[in-house]
Amino acid sequence: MTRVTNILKRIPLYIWILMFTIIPLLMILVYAVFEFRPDGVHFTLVHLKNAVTEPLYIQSLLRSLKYALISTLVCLALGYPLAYILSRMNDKMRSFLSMLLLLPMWMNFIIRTYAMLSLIDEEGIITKLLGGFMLKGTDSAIIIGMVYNFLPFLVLPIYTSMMKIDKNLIEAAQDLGGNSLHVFTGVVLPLTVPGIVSGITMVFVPCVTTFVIPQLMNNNVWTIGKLIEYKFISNASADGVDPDGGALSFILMILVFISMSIFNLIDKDDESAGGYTL
Amino acid sequence: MSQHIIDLFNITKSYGDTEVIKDLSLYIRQNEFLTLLGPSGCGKTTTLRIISGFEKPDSGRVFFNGEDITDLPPHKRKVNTVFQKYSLFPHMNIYENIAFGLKIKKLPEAEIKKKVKAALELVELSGFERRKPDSLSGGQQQRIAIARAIVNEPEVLLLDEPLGALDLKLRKEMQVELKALQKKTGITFVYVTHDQEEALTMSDTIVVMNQGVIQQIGVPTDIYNEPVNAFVARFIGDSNILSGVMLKDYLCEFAGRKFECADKGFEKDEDVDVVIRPEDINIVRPEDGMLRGTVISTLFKGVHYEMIVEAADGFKWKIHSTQMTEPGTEIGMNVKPFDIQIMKIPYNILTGWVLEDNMVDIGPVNVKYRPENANSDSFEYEETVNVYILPQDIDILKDKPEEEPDDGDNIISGEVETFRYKGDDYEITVKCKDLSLLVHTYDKVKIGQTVYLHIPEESIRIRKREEVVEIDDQGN
Repeated sequence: MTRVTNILKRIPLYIWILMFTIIPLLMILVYAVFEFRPDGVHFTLVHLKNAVTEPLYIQSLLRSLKYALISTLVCLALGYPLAYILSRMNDKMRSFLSMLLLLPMWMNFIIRTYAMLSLIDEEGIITKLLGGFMLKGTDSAIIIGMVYNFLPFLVLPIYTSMMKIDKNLIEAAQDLGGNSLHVFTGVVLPLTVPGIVSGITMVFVPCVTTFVIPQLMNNNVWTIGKLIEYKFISNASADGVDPDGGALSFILMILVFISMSIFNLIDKDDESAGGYTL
Repeated sequence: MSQHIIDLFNITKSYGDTEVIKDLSLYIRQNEFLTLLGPSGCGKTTTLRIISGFEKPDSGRVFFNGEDITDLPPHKRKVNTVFQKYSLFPHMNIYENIAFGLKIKKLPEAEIKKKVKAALELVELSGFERRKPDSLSGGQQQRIAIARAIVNEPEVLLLDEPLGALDLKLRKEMQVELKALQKKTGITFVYVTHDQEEALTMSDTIVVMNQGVIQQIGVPTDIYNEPVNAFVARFIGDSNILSGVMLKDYLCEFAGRKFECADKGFEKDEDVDVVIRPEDINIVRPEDGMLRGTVISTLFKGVHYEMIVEAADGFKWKIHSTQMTEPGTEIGMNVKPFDIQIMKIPYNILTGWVLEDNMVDIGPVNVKYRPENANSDSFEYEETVNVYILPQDIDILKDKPEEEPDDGDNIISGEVETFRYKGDDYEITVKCKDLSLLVHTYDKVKIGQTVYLHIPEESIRIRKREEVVEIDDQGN
């Protein structure tokens, strides 16, 4: 009886997952392997083959991965110290600064990116400061856009894992003769690994897939996100969408899934090693 | 006398407006087991953290082997701490936890291995090297925490309520083990606890603290048998605390009769607190007892019975005895002179001038007293006398009196100067013009607040001055 009611209680959740996860995923797969033509629906694997062999596609994917990797590393280099500084502050200052950190995120993502763009275009302040050198249209512009947009997603999980560290552990390390460096490498860093892992995941995945940032910051190059967007929306004809878009989405999703699994594996490893969960 | 390993001189420490430690001076001798004992918030942990370097005193100096270490950071001090919640590193196994300090000292790996093994043997957890802290029980974790500290061979080991999280049986076992460990290693232990039994069991020296002030320092038997004040007496073990009068050296009157006692050096007829431990009262036949009473309740406490005995004057005595006495039985009670502990009372002692109609001038106001509370019935007009008022006899009026208080109303207004929590009541000082009064109250007041005090007539005691030395302007 309780089993039945338990299942009944979960029905809204199942409906949600079905509507917004399972069906869209199937739709992508459907678009990847079926062609919708006036004379009917045809099954084909040619688009999936295109997705993994077409040089433009592969180049775009590799380029996207490169941007995402660099952006994530820059985020980590900026975000980890930031999280550390935040966690060390008194309550008042901390809540004020974390609000400042989150404040831009209350604004729409595209508007935020346009705002950043206005700093680095022909008339932008940064362009003027750089003596007329325009960042817009360079690889750096894309990295700047990604770091600017996704930095808070990396800072927050790291900050949370730092706040969770028992102050006594830091005192214990000091008590045992540890200076600041020993305390950091011996206690703080290993205990924030779960935060680092989830922070990286939160930044890396959207960096790979975003199309707005590359489109606005440097529209001279193709990225995988832009390509998919183009295939689905801009290149859509009366016949329907370009099925290559579905195939690319599908391949990208598998790649993201694999990279997520690897990250989670590291996370799990650490969990069993340290008994420390985020 | 052994050498001092740690000296604290005139330490003060405040957090915001709260003074946690007030001018504390203390020395710790080499190889002793010293316990800082007191209720929570008494400043014992802060004192420990000042020794370990995690807190910096606002003023005062800390010396270690004669060397000033006040400004030395924790990681440079030759002390190690066993924390209350063990604080083992969760991401390291037991071996790595214990080796942490040794690795920082860059000892060769082989030596580290040897030392960790020895430390684990010492705490009887050999073979636990590869285990994770969270797979260990609380008691085992605490032993690892001890091993992790001791492996560094500190000269002083600081223990902050290390057994607080363990159950009673384990705690008792660990008490014995810790004491044995201290003897075996010869390390000076500074132990913080609020558990008086723990302190009495393990310590060579007990330092009883309350409100940032050391109340008494002594060996456990002295602390137990001769508490210096009512706080120590109440905090260390059960006790019967009565009001008495010290008639002369070695003779005290309380509970309606005179008792021989072992104390001297009080003023004639000085009011005192008398402490008698429940186990120091012997039950005898009613006709043989110094005091009589009726048993009103009997509780079995394992080793002994705890009986509450109501005496004729209404005082309820607590008695511990291995002999069971049925409730309702009339018994006699005897107590030996050296089991009667006499303590001074922190009276308000004021200078007063006797006026007519049982009035006495105490400076800001003239107050009425009862003639039976004066030790003489003939005073000269404006004769200078001592006026005694107990802090707990003074009441704080809830509301401002409607009419301006008059002489003889025994109401005096003043401003609250200091405010301290004293376990179950508050001790405040009230400044009334040039007079400062100590008041005990259950009500909360604020510093700077104006209060109206009522001094009941019957609480004022007038004592003739035996020799009133008049001091003239030249100070002769």
